[in-house]
Amino acid sequence: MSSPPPPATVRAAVAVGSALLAVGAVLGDVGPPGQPVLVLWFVLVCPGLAFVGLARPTSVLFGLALSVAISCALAVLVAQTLLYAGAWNPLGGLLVLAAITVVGCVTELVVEARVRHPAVTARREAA
Amino acid sequence: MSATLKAETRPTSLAEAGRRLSASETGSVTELGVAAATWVVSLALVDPRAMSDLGLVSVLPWTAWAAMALLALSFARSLARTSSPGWLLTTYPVTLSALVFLTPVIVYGTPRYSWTWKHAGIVDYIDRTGAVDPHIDVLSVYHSWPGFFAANAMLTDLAGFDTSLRYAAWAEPLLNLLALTAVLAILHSLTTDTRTVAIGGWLFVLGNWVGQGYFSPQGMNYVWYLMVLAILLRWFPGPARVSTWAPSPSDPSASRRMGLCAVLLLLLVSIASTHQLTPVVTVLVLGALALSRQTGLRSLPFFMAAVVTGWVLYVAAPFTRTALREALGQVGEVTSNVQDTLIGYGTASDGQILVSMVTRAFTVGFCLMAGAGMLVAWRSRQRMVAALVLALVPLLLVGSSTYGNEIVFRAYLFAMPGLAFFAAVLLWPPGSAARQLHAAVVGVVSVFLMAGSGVAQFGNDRQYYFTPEEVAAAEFVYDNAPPHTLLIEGSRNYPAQFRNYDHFTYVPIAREDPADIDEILEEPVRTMRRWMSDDDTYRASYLIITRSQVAATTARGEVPGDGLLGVEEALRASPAFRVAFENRDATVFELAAQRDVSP
Repeated sequence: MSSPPPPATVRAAVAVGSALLAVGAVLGDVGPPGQPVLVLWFVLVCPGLAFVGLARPTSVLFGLALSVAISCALAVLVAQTLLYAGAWNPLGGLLVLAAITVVGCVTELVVEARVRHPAVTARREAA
Repeated sequence: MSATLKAETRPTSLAEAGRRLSASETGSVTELGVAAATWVVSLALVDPRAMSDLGLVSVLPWTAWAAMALLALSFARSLARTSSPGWLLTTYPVTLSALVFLTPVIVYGTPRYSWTWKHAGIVDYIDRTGAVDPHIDVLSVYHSWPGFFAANAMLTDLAGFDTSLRYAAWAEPLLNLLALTAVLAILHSLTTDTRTVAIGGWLFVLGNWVGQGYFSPQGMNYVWYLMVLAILLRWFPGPARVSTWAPSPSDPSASRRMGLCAVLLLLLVSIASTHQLTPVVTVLVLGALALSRQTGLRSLPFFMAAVVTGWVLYVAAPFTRTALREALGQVGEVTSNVQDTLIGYGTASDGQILVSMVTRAFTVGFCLMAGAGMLVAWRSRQRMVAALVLALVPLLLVGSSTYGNEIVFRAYLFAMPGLAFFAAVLLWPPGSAARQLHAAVVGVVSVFLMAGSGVAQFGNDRQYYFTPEEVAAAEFVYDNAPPHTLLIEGSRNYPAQFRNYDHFTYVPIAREDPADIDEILEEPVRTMRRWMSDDDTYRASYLIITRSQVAATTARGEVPGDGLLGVEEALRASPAFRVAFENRDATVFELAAQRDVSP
């Protein structure tokens, strides 16, 4: 419960990999058990996993729970936006969530790099 | 020489340390495993059909109670050992939560609570139409706060499921585990004592009998609400947070503060747009925390209030216009709001009266424990203002509305994190040394709380559980009836409205005026024939009576005696009616002269 969460690169790999697999499963209409497992895992966990590092949770358990909470919130906002925009499209929603996941992973990796190597980052920005 | 010695001795000492660690923890982990395995095996022996009006506790074998007692004993033993690490202590409430809330999944096989099925009906509506209709007659409130349902419609479609009911039952263990994790984080922000934290989490699981952690907007919103509080109290403490029990204030980096703020705003917007009650309590609690300077983010309640106001007055305007006057009329009516929540002892069955009395005693006892914990904190000169806000401010809800006759339960639910903290302070004041007597008290109190919690949590499950036969009867109606069908139901308590729910006009007998119910019971054939003969308004008419409807109406005394069974018997004997579908748990009637209709 008190060990640090996995590093950003691992989280990013898991999140982006899961996004690709989930989109692939839906586009390929893989069916059960693969499609439900991949979709549920990705939608309920991965978008939050991409952002949770920015909050730096204090334990793996809380980090996972926060990932699910953030993922559910993002799924709600994306689905609700599609609904009210009159553009209901579940696959479109999945692609938006996948895009959000990639953005989250890139943001976290950039922030992580700046925190670990502030001098290098400052030199690059100056150049 | 010394280098050689180091090389030889270091692995040995590390191995010894590892062995010591294992020796002190292996026993606890083994006990946890035995308790969990015994519980699960015991559940396999349970026949849910045999439940009396005491619910699931009436059919639990003694081995299940023994498993829970072993869990409590093992928890007490771990608390007593000075060497027990925090992760081991936290594993106990996590295991307890998993066992308690996996129970319906293991025993029933179908999602419990009729509201789970109704919520699946809204998901089905969005999946079919890709839209919401705020002016719809039935369950219109969900069409004004549709986020939870829209997300599930998307998830159901993407996963390739035909209905969200395929996974709905798993929401109960998942949401309750998430809620517990957030509560543990809240408790960690109030005290550094891992024993008080673990006991608080343990008491939260036992005390949370309200049953809102299921496939529902409230279940999801409760998790978000707790996450907001956990982040706020842990990373954004205010200048007035002064307590030697609490951890020293953290000073997150700028990027971390930005990330945490983004998460907070996301969760608050989600709360405002998916539920009616949680935003109110969130504004109240955030406002109280800001006013008492318990958080540094003092603008957050204003942000939340603005989002909530915008949603209520603009997005949910069609619903708000009709419901606001009624809601405002209930503000300040504390006594009637409380009375509307509680079951009437004059009509309920003996078993249900017992369940209700145990539940009330359990709840009052839990609150008294928390009250005594507040006194302990006060005598210890600890200003636990944040915890007091969490425990007391949600109780203001009782004066605001009846909220569908549930407001007392919901207020208790939202107060749970604070109540659990103070009850834990009573049992284990932060900073107390690990003592066997102390731990033994926790164990004994836990056994009593487990018994009370079991009755409160599962005491109504004869009516909350639905058999596959009932589901089959409901599927027959919802799959075959054409749009504009009249559906007369014994009561609302059955797997209802989960598919094509907008095709029906619903008339539950149990919701009729007492005089009308008497008329139905006196002349069921004539009354039902009159109701179901309105060919001008409806394309078809059905009457459905199921096992859980009979259980619910009998338990609550909604229909005198076995009234629904009397209605069923009379219609079966009448040539005016035909049985359209039947099995051992449900019967669907239609008029014998009903014209042939197709969906």
